[in-house]
Amino acid sequence: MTDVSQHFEDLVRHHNNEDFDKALKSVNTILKEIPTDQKALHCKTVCLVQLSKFTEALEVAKKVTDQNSVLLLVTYSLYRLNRYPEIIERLSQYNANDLPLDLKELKAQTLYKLEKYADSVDLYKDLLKKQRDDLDTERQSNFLAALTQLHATTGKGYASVGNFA
Amino acid sequence: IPPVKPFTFDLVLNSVKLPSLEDKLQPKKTATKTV
Repeated sequence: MTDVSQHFEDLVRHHNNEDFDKALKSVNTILKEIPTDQKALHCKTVCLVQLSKFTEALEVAKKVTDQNSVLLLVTYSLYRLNRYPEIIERLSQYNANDLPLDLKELKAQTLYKLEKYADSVDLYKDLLKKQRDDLDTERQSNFLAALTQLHATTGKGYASVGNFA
Repeated sequence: IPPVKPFTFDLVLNSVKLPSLEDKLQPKKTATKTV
């Protein structure tokens, strides 16, 4: 096994143990040897996001050639930095129906922060139809929060609850 | 008093995962049977 593949093994092990400081050290060792390794740069961005170092994560993500592969990491970092309009701009390359579920979730959260409640409600309705994981209760809470705000600001919304509430 | 905006959960971090590293890792050794 080469040194680099051993460091990737270490990276995965530390990441799976949620020890992101050690995972970051492993990936930094790889990048010291191969500064442009695309997978390592991607992994470093993941580690930095997990460590809540969002500005640094954005800087590293810029070095990844396939920007689509790190779009979730970039937009999530922007979200945590409260840079909401930039997220909407970056996601505008997708038709609403083509947006992957994780990015759709991020867009729904972002629209809520931007007080665009009707659009947020629409996205949550779609997510609740398609996404089935152990976070559906929290997702329904987010949907109801957007719906409550839509009703509070426009008087509309509750008639569209349907089977989701 | 302005109305309180309801709390929402951040569910996206759950989707933040490492990329596939199959090409970077040593293939797992499989047991071989000697006849």
